[in-house]
Amino acid sequence: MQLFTGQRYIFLVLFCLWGGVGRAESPDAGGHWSVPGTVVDAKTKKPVAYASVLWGGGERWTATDESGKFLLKNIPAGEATLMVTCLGYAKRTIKAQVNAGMPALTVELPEDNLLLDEVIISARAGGDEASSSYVIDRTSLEHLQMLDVGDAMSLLPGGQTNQNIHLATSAAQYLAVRGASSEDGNPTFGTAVEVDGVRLSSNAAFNTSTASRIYGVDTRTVATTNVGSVEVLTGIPSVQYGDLSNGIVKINTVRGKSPLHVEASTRPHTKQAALRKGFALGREAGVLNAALEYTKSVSDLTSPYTSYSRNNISLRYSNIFNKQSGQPLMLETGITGTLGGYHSKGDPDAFVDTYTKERGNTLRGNVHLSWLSGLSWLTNLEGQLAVSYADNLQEKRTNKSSSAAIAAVHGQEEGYFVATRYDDNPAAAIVLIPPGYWYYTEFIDSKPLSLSANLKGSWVRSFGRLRNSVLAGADFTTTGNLGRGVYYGDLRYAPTGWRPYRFDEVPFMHNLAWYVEDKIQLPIGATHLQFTAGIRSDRTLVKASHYGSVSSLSPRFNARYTLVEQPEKTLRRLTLTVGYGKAVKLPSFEVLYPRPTYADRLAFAPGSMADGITFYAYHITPHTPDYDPNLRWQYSRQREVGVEARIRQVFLSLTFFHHQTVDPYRYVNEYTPFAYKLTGQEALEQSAIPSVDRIYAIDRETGIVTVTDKTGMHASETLACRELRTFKSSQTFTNGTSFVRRGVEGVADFGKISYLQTSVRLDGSYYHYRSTDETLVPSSPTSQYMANGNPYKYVGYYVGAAASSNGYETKKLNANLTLTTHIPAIRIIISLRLETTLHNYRQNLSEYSQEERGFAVANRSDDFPAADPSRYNSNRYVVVWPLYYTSYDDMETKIPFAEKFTWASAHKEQDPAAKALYNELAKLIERTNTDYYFNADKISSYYAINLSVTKELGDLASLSFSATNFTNNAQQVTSSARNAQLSLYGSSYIPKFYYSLSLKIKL
Amino acid sequence: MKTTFFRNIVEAWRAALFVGGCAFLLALAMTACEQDDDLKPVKTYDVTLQLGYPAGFAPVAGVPVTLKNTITGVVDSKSADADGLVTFTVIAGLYEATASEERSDTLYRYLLNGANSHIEVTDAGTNSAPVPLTLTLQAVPKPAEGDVSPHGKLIIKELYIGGCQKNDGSGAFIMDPYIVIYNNSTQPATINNLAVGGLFPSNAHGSNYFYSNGQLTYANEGWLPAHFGVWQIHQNDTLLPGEQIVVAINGAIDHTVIYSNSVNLANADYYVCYDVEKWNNANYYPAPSELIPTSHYLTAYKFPGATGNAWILSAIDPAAIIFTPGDGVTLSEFANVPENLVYHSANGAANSQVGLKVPTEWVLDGIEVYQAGNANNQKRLTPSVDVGYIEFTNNRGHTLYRNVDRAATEAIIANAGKLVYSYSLGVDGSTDPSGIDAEASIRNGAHIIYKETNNTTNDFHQRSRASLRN
Repeated sequence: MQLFTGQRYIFLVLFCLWGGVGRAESPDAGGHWSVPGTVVDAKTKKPVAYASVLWGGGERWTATDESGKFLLKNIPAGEATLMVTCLGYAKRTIKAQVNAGMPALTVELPEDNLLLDEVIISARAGGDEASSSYVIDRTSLEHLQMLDVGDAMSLLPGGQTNQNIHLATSAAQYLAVRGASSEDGNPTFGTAVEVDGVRLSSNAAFNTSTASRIYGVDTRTVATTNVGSVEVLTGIPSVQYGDLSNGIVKINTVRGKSPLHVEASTRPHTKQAALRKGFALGREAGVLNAALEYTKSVSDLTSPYTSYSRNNISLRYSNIFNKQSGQPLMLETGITGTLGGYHSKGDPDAFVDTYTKERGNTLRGNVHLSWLSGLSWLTNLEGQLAVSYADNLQEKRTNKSSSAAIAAVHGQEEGYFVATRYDDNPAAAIVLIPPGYWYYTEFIDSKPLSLSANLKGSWVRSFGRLRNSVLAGADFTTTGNLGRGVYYGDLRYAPTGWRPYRFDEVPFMHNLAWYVEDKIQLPIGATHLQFTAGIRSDRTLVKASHYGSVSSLSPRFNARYTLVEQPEKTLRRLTLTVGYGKAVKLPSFEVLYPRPTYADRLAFAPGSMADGITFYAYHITPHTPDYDPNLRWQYSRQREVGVEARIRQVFLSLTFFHHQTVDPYRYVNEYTPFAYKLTGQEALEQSAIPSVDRIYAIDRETGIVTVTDKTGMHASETLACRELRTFKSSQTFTNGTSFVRRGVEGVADFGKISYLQTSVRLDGSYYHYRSTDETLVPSSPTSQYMANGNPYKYVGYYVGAAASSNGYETKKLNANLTLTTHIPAIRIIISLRLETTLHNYRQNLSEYSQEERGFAVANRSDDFPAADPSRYNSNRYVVVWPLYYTSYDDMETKIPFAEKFTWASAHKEQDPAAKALYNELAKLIERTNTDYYFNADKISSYYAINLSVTKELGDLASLSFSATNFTNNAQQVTSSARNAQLSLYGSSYIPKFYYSLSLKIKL
Repeated sequence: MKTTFFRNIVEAWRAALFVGGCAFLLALAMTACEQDDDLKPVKTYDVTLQLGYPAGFAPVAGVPVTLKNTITGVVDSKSADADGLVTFTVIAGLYEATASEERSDTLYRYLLNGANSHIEVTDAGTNSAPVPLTLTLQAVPKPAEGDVSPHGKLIIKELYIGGCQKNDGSGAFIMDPYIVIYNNSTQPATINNLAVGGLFPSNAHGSNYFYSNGQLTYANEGWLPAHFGVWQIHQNDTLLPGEQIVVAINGAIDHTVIYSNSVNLANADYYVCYDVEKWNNANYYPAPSELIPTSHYLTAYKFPGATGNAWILSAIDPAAIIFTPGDGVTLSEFANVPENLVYHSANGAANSQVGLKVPTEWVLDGIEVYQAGNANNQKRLTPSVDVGYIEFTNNRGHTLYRNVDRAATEAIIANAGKLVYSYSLGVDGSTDPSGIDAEASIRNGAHIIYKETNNTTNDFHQRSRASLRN
């Protein structure tokens, strides 16, 4: 992978800056002092153990002991800002003057409950980081009553309520940051998801279908009741995060000492119960957090059998050793297991003994060590070992019957094969399934496993007013799949088309990465500059793949400049952020180890005998998707500019992003001329051999069928056949055309109107996606035949796709208004959230940078442009010609379509050959289905309102209720493309009306 | 010597006298007899013959009857009276009587022939009871008037599309549909080039994009939109009046081996839609029974752009037509002309929803099926082809069967006594108003004329089981 010139330059600057600063200054411990203190409960004044105390954004940290005491060492003299956090308590930030012999601090932590004035129930902009990010805390999540971690995304600016109201579908749930799952570039695949620092990876997941779409991880397996916070890094992430292209979602579970929490919740399709407790294991022995969750969704309330269940157990141990020394060592280790999945067994609506089960079992574990070294050249050292394993075994039992014999083609080798009874040869290329009734059980065994080891160190140093942090680290990740692939309980009835393909025989993919990042914080007068620059190198070792080892470099930069910081003025704070970064998404196994595909063509079909038996023969063509030596790793180039302002109590933030996806993975078909033989019953009509005495044999190479008489009475016969000339199609992965997503995310938080005890927040997002693909795509329409009925002999080469459009553009403007009434006195929060979509636009595109791609025609069946060939918003049908075509007889010569077709059209009346060519080439023309296909489709604005209430019943219990789309909006909206009226009721535009209720008790 | 001579002369004289005397006596005896006849008149007898007619045929006056004395060879002929009686006066003896009559109706010449070769007339046998002379019937279809009609009145007699329940209770089996095409005319009809098609939308209750303001947009354009492709017979066979062919739409095999509620379509006389080069989904198109000659395979014409690997006539509520292209037109050429194609494609449906504009003048017959109880059903056939519909319940083994034209059927003299009434196979409130059990009557040898009013409502009923299961 080559660096662009600009990237090289930036890397050089970064290196010099890091190295130069390191040589110019040396650590100076002279003005550093220890800060002693005690953390107590604000109400009871009892000491709070296991509270974290941090200084300098984590540069120095420790934790309280059993008596609530802490000692934070090596803090520079002067004013220091300390942050104290503890599970169950509100976070506190305190300022202290650090000097020699300073008195011990006493920090009172108030309990985290609705008695507090400051309660936020939406995503907070992620603090002081230069890149845009959002944090959703526990109170918000509880108020939201999250069922799937994806639900939390609705709290992001412009986010909208997840429309999946239950989990009981056979479809997975995906997260996509700044993207939609249907778009190019696989945004769900490019969105990284981490739970407690353990990356959930779908790189080694294999799709069960041969369709080569690649997706992200199924988030349904992640328990939601013990999630402490969700961080969404939407902007340019730190270089410590790799293998992503769309952002990262970090899910952190609750950690720390806590009483027993019992939680039960219900909503129409789902019941949920959970227990969690943080056990203090005794003096300096750490804390063990245990959590249990039971969640069960049913898909149909009237037939509550098809279900998805999630049974989660999580154990997390954490402890900080050596607290008093100033070199604390924090150990965090955890293991989380989930048992459950989709299950339709027992549904009386299904035929007896048929079912579909899909395991959603996962096991995740990690050991994380963080050491505050106290060394002059190393501030903090962290290391982690993590494992993530999923058991996604699907089991589907199906009832089948047939009055005709079925040829089940399983052969993996090329050639002609005749069907054979299973009892005669269980390993036959084609197994004859006789007529009858039977069951078969299909297993799709996918068990992706990911192991990773990370080590990173930071070095933080102040040089006068400049504060410099260097982060460097390395990751090693290995990913594979331990599943058997698709197999059957009894091969006797394995359906046609199945071929063994063991996932566990695909080699593991190893990725070795290193990264280095430097962060400078520099006060400049009253302003403050923060600059982060980093680079990440990924080296992927693709064993036994044509793609071998590949490397990539991802430079990333972020800057944050606080222009104004004046708490007493109207404009209290004004900050600008800017960022640029490159993120590389590693390819999935579907790309690296493409599965062979098979084309099975009927080659012999003798008449069925009285018992329904017939011995078909097929020609099998195996194909492994071609290796593309030019395949480049997909990456995204992200740019972001933001502004944040606080005007009195109003907080405003606006972030502009521009994400370019470069070299998105896509696949194309390629065609090779292919002729095969077909022998029909007509060849047997004159046979002297009675059908019951026939033994059919087909020559594997030539396809010639020979019939022999098992009684020996008659001589063998060779059957006449005919040859069919068609194409073999094969798939290959390649890189598509780069495209851009851009948008604006904004928040206006107007703060609390005290006399109404109500806060007002307006957030919104504008999202624009536009992609047109200009890959030259060959396509031979299987639905066309030559005029004489023979298979179609031409292949067209289209820009982007053999379709009317080669991309589309969407624009969406969402705006949400949230009114939150929080009355601490009665410990209640009532929130009303108006989710509106003010602009919802989609335009199908047909574009080519070299010339026009397609044109409008006057009449639907016309082949040539109308006087005004404008494609868009013309209320006319549009046709698209291929650029070139080739024919079966000469696949090498690409004939310009327009030239030849125009000639044939001009001469068709005089020249029969021209007319014939005209008729045949016309079949390569792609036409829109409707006259409004290229009309811009604007959906008129629409809304949904959600109401949520959380009420604490004393210190021990709280009750949350929410009604989603509680007005059950059945408004009509207008679709401009065809001026149609659509009802929102039951539509995909807004969520369905439903309610949910949950009760939480602390014991 | 002289004495012997004279003695011999005397002896010869005596002998001559003896012979002469005997001859005289004999002659005298014979003369006496004659003299006796001459004395009494010759005795004769009346023989009455009663023509016996087959059922359905009443006697008519004037039928010639011939009586022949097998001894004397004397032949006499008379005409029977309106009661079928004829009387001959004969002397005693052995006689043979024959009678012939020819009648006809619109469909047949009826040859009524009778013979009684042993009629004995004796003194003792004089009996006043009429001697039966039974006429046997031979019904001969009327010869063609000029050429064989291209397609006569070929009609859809039956459409079996709804499937039946499987034996194991796992639901319906629907891969056994068939259509019966019947010559309902008085003329033989060729089936060569006859094509079978279905119309868009496949289901009457599905979205019909050909409707605009409640009207079929093609209603007055002289065509019907056949969907995806059509099947055509290439077999120069002729159906006589009352003959039929069975066309298996999917699997021409014996489905009853596995599905006892299904039908046996493995029959050498049947036809089958089977063209694996165009539609090759083996679930739909198992290799036809080896009993069926490949000349009975229909050829598929898949319209340009049609996708899919099987041609489907809805198992719920199709509209089916039979038609034959106009003179000199081949379907492949006709379908290759873009102007002859039409797309069922509003609201984003794909161009693969391609249809052929089948001129209505090509159409021989059509049937419009609605799903029972579905309020969304919409008519697809235009009035020149059909104006009604028949409601249908699928998956129960039911079939759509044409009603009998009772008057026309009963008018066929030969049907007398062969028609079975008290038809009881109508189902779901639908039945054949004629009350005639057509299939039972056909098994009795009756020739059924079916209703043909271009109104499915009048012409069809829902029958509880396929006719091939009777």
